[in-house]
Amino acid sequence: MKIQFDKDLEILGQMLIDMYKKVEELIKLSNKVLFEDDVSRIEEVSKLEDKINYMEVEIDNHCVTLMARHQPTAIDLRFILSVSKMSNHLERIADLGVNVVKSVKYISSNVLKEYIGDMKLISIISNQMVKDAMSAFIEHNTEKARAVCVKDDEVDALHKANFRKFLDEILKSKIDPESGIDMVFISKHFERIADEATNLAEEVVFYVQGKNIKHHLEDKVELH
Amino acid sequence: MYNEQAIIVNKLENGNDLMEKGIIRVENLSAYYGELEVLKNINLEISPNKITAIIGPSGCGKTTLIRCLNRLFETVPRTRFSGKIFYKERDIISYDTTDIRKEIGMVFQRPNPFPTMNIYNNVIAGYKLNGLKLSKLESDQLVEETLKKVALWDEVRDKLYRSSTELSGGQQQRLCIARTIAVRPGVILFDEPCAALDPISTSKIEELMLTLKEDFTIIIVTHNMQQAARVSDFTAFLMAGQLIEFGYTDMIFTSPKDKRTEEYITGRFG
Repeated sequence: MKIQFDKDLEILGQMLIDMYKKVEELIKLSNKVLFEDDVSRIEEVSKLEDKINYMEVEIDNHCVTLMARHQPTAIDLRFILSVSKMSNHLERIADLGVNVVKSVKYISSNVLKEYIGDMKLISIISNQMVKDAMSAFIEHNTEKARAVCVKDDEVDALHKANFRKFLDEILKSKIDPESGIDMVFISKHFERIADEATNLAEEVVFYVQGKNIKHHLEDKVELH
Repeated sequence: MYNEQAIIVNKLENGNDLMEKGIIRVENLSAYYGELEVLKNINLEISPNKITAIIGPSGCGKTTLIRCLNRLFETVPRTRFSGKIFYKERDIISYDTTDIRKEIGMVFQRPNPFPTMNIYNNVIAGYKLNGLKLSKLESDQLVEETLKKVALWDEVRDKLYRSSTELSGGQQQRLCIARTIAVRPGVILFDEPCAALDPISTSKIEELMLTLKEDFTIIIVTHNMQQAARVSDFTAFLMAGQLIEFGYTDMIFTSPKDKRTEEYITGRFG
């Protein structure tokens, strides 16, 4: 029995979950800044980002050590590779949360008050996608993971609608261009969060089933 | 850019296809030591000019399987087998035993150069022992060519008439490989060829196998899974005399289909 290696794998999995919890905390704070205009939380967001970056590096180091020492194969190999990539995606999600906070600073408060409701739905869906992808990882649930990938189209459509709306508002001079563009950026950040959630979900399928479903390739080719 | 049909065709073009006729075909092979069934209904095709690794826990029948292929198995008393083995589409029973063992050569775990012969004569032992005459020129050319193929020529060219036992373990094993390929077999069986060697010698033997497969079909039995992963194109996993899974090595080591294969290669049993 490879007791020590199994323990090391458990530790690695827990490191990823701990990192996700920090990312979830950062997203919640970033939403507070955005939806409740609570600028007092901005510094907290920045500190969390530093912590998350550090955790990503720690996970990378742990993965490299495990691969060097144990030459893993099959599901162990896929697990380690997936965790390494998932930590990168979580770090990018954190970056996007920080970008939302940064964009808020440039939007005038009356614009924010009037239009912030347009961001609610895209924010809820993209954040839920991240949550579902990580829960699919914990549960080894590939159905749940695939459902996350399907949701991405909905978020893309919401962002397109936001883009058209704000472009329209700018052209009709109902909103100053700078604020309008920053609102589009915020919508884009949520759309990117959804993309990263999709990436997380794809890694779950790879880890559990050994199938690479990136870029919809599974529909086109059997890779083995 | 990609479609399912293209991938299948791609496999065929590379000759790297399980559907292609194997140079060796095993059909419903069962083998017995007395009443003990040690191989159970094995079906397998070995692709030409590829390296096929046979892995599995101790006592699973790996060595028995390869010894069936060149009919060494039947030299052991009270053994028998059922089923068929075809070499180049011909039943191996129809071959003379000397001929089939020339066609399907074997390299053993412990290097075993003939101790009473010098290096030169070890290489051409297959000809000498079978009364096949070679002129001096032919022998010299064969010895040089074969020793070069196993990357031993530069190390022994100045001591060809010295005893083979003066060589290191790794050199002796390469000499045994030279002896095997000198008679130009179609297939070479390696039975844990690196088990008695240090890591550097092992690495040299593995490099050699990768070169040799251009001219020969190779089957290797190994306990070293990393070795199987490094050198082989195909891997067969045996357990308790049964063939559990067979496929491309990269598939076996990244996404095996059978849970037992996965448990074995991840070291959770065996």
